[in-house]
Amino acid sequence: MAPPTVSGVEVVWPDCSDADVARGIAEGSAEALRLAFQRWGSLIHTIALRALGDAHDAEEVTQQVFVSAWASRRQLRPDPEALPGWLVGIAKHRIADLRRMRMRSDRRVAAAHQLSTQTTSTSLDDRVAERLVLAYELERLGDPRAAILRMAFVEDLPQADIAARLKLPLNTVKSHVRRGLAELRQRLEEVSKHG
Amino acid sequence: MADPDLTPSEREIADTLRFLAHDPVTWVEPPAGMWSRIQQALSAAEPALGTTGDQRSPGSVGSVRQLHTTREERPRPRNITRRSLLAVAAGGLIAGLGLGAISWQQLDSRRGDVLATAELTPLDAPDQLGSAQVLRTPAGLELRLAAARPFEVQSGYIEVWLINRDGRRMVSVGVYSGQSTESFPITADLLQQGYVVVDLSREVFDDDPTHSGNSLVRGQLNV
Repeated sequence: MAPPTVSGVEVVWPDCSDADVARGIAEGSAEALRLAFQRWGSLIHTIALRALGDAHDAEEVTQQVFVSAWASRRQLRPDPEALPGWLVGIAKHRIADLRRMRMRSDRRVAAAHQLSTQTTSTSLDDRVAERLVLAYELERLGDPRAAILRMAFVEDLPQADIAARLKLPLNTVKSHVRRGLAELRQRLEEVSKHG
Repeated sequence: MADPDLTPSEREIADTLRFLAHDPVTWVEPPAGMWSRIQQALSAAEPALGTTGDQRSPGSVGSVRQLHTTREERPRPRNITRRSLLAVAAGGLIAGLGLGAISWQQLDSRRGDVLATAELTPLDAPDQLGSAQVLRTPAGLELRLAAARPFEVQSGYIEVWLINRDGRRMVSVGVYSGQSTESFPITADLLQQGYVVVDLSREVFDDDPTHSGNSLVRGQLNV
């Protein structure tokens, strides 16, 4: 399974590292932002769609995320782990902003629910983002690690069965599970940092 | 999989992965055209971004271009057999200016984003005689050449090639007047496939489309 890039966006360096993309954006390269859009645009859009439930709203948020990202590019650390967490953090803020705007315009709903003036990212949004980033990063891990993690936790297979199916030593499977989980945890930490 | 061996934080990830079994993700791409809308919003906020200024018309590079009637088609790679060129290709490739991390260039607001550059130097004596850049313009990617001093053309012409990293295959991207700055349309695919060594050759009108073996200058793009 390949991670879901945005089709139709032509990029010159599709294999460059996440660190390079982060550095490029921080340095003010519009080409780097374009590459970030191609690489993570579907992730951001799917998060927005799941959080807001409306295609038009999701599109508006996705567009705003990349425009905001450019405006605040000097705050982006050129680290290997900074992306996509930084973009997801911006997405959560834009989602919260849009939701607050929608609620304000529907006064009956606001009155009925007696909403406070401060609407922040709900914990539901956080879980949506977390789960989607995890699914995305899992696909980026590549096989056999991604396949092993899927078999272990999504299909719930015993490690011995995984080893037999993939014709790998059991210790190799165990190592992939450990390292895969550690890698995913590190990715998620970046996301929760920007909540 | 039972996971008694996992640490609490590992187990947290494992549990979130389990959700994917019940709730597999359907990725939804942004609609077509979103990137150009983003780009327009960026340009509106910062007028220096994007391309302004002269929009080169397709026929403006020079009438010599008409020699190559297949300009509109994607250039096809040609296998070269001239031993001299092969030998030179192996020994004369200039070390890339940035083969490690990508060198993001600053915006060239006059024409487009500069994606890569190369110094063009003669194979036998490394004086820089020109430079090459890859630019992204609204019309697509282009290879832009600039001569430090005009090249002598005499009775032939100068052909521009992109040679593959493997030193064996090459593609012609056009004919260069050798006099000033000229641009040639190229594709990202060409660069991705490794055609990143810019070579200028002196050619004669001999109905032979292959490289004459007479390279004037060469340089590797830092992609």
